[in-house]
Order: sequence, then C-alpha cells, then structure tokens
Amino acid sequence: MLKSLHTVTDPLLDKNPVTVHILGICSALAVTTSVSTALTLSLALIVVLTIAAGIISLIRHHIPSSIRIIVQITIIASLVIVADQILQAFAYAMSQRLSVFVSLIATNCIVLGRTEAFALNNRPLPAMLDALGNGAGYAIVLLVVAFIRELLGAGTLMGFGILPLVAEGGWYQPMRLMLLAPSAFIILGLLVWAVRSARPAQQEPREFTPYAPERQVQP
Amino acid sequence: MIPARLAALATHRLTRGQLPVLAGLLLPLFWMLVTQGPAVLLRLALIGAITLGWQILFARLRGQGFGLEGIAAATIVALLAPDTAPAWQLALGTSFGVVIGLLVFGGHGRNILHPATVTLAFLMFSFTSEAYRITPELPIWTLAPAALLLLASGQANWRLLLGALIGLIGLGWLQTVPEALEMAGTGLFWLVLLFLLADPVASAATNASRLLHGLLFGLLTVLFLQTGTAISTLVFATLMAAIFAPLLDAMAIAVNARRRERRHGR
Repeated sequence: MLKSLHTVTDPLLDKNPVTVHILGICSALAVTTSVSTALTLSLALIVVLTIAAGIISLIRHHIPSSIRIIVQITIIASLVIVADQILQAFAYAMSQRLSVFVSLIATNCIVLGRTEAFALNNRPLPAMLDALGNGAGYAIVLLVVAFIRELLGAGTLMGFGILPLVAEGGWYQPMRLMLLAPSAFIILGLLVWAVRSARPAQQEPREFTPYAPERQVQP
Repeated sequence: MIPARLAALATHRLTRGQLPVLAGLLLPLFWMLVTQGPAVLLRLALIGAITLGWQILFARLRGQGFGLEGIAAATIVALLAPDTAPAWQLALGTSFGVVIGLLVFGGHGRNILHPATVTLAFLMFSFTSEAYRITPELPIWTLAPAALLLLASGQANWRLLLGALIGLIGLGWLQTVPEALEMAGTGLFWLVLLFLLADPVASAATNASRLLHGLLFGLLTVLFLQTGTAISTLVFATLMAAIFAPLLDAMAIAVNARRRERRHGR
C-alpha cells in the first residue's frame, strides 16, 4: 500500500515531470494565461495518460519491441481524439479557447515518456497510479503558473475579479507581460529555482568542466 | 596627476569603479530635483532601499559581496521612471531587475545585462499606462560632466559611442527619420548611451565588437523609433544590443584568431 502511494506522490514534487525533467514545457507555456484553461488541459492530460498507461500495460507482453512506439502513439492519439471530441461536444467554448492544445497532448513528452518508461514494464495498476501521479505533478505546475499569470496579468482567477482594476476605478494595473509567453518561461524558471533550492538533491551535477587550454606563448 | 588617495578610493573593493558613474549622475539628478520637485528623491529612496535589501539578502545567502553598483542602477531607474508610477510597480520592477538582471548571475561583473535596463524594460513591457510613454526632459548639457568623467575613467568606451552615433544618424538619414537626428541632441539619449549601453559589464569587450555593439544599438534605435516612443525605443534597443554583445565578442575573437593563424601560414 505504502509503495503504491509513493508511486502517486513522488511525481508531485520529488520527481515532478515539469520541474525536474523539464518536460511538457510547450503546453505549460501556451495554456497558462488563465486558470480555467490550465485546469481543463490538466484534467484532459490526466485522463488520457492514465487510460493510455492502463491499456499499454495490459498488452505490454504482446507489443513487439520494434514497433512499440507506433503502437503507443496510436493508443495515445485515439484517446486524445476522444478527449477532444468530448470537450467539443460538452464544453465548446472551452475547446475553442484551448484550440490545438488538446490534440497536442498526443505529442506531450510526459505521456509517451511515462508509457515508454513505466507502463511497458509494469502491471496495469502501478502503471495507472504512476500515470495519475505524473499527470497530477504536471497539473500542479500548470496551475501554479496559471494562478500567478492570471492574477497578475488580468487581476482575475477563474474569471472572477480579485484585484480591483484601474479601468474599473480600482488601483491594480494589469501586467501585460504576464499574458505574453516570456512570463511563463520566467515563472517556470523561478519555480524550478525555488524547488531546487528547497530540494538540493534535484540539482544537476555539472555536465562538463569548462575548457581550459594550455597557455600558449604569443606568436 | 590623479592623487594616489583618490585612485585608491576609486578602485576600492566597495566602490568598484562606480564613483565616476555616481558623480556623473549627480547633475541630471539635481536637474530633475529642480524641475520635478522632491518626488525624484522619494523614488530614489524607495528603489535604492529595495535594491539594497536584495543585495544584502544575496550577500548573506551566497556570500557574494556588493558595492555601489546597486545605488547607481537605482539612480538611473529613478531618473527614467515616470513620476506617476505607483510605488508597488516600481518595487516589483526593481526586484525583478536586481534579482534577475544582476544577483542570480553572481553579482556585479558577472551579469550580462545592466539591472537598470532590465528594470525599465520590465516596467515598460508590463504596464501600458500613458505614464510610461512620457519622455523625461533632460537638457543635453546635464550629461556633459558624465561624458567627461566616464570617458576619462574608461567606464564608457568611445568606440561604443561612435558606433551608436554612426548607426543612429546614418540610418536616420538614409530612412529620413527626423526624430532620430533630433534624438541625438537630447539628454535622455546620452544618459542611456553613457550609463546603460556603455556600461563596461553589459557591453562588448573587444575594440572591434564595441564598435559593432554601438552600431547595432544605433540601427535598432532608428528601427524602433518609427513605431514607439523615445524612452521605450532606447530601453529596448539597449536590451537587444546587450543581448547580442557576447555574440559580437565571440565573432571578433574568432576573426582575430583566424587572422593570427593565417599570419603563421596555416
């Protein structure tokens, strides 16, 4: 029980796919201008990832190693299409706001990374728990970034006004920078900095020592 | 010529060559004080206190020392920030500029951009209010002592200034942008040029690339000036040019290495 609990909780902070492995940055940048879009995409990713991990784990003994990527992508892409169609059917406005990013879950490195690295070698239940944990870890980062960006960029949260805007007689002047892509990089960078300061084990060793040539005599 | 005691003070660990910068900023600050009233000093106190606070925090956390460069950057921001900017905006912008522009790199001398440039770019990118479009009025003569001090002390390299003027006036004349020619006569342009662009840490480091760095700044200024206001043009042109400075350095060094190689018949 405790071990399977760790499979879910480890990816939340200690093995977070976004802050440790820097995966899934593209969508973390694109959909985090508001909390509601970030939440929707996170939920879609968690559902797709968990079901994909379960299916792939179930048939893991039957997948020939040489075509395993094709099989995985086919399963993931089918699930993504289902998720996209459900969103279009029941939440059309939201699917318009998310535009292509729901379909781009198929290319999210976290999804293929977890199915390839974990689901292919583990039983269905641990595989789904691992997928759930990694999806939740991704969702946490997305929600933190979206919280900061929507609050500072528009003065709202989930569309409700929090900070009184100058345009409506308040004091808060929205920061346009927060609605532009660079701010997501900056916030993500600060977040990684903060997490790695709190957990020094996540800091990477130097990949190489700086090139120091022998001192040469001037010709 | 220069008294030994003054030389010792100017190169002291604490001042770190910032004495000519601060001395050069005195006259523009005094001019602002006379024309705008004491609000500029209030701004300076706020920005300076926040800068110093971050510097002390990093000095304690990382054991990296600091000198007067923070106060110099704070003075430049206080001069160029609009007087109607709310305190929280200045505090946020200054925190961002000092931490991301200076302290994360390990302090003065290791940074790649001038912290005042980062602060001003952050403020102008973030907030769209009219206040950030107003050009601070500075007569060109208020920068004359600064130009003398910085050029004489080696803080500002003349090649950068020459390149910037050639780029600005050259492209301004080719594209017939009269604002570009007018800009060369404003104090604001010379303030940005002398203190932000020609800052020895944030600018190119070889003689050839200094000329190119200045030239790039001049060209960018003319291009940006056709769509933006004077102050945002200067800040973003400085930011852009400073980002390309290390590349220009690498190019100058590669060309030099190639030339020396060829001299030896390889």
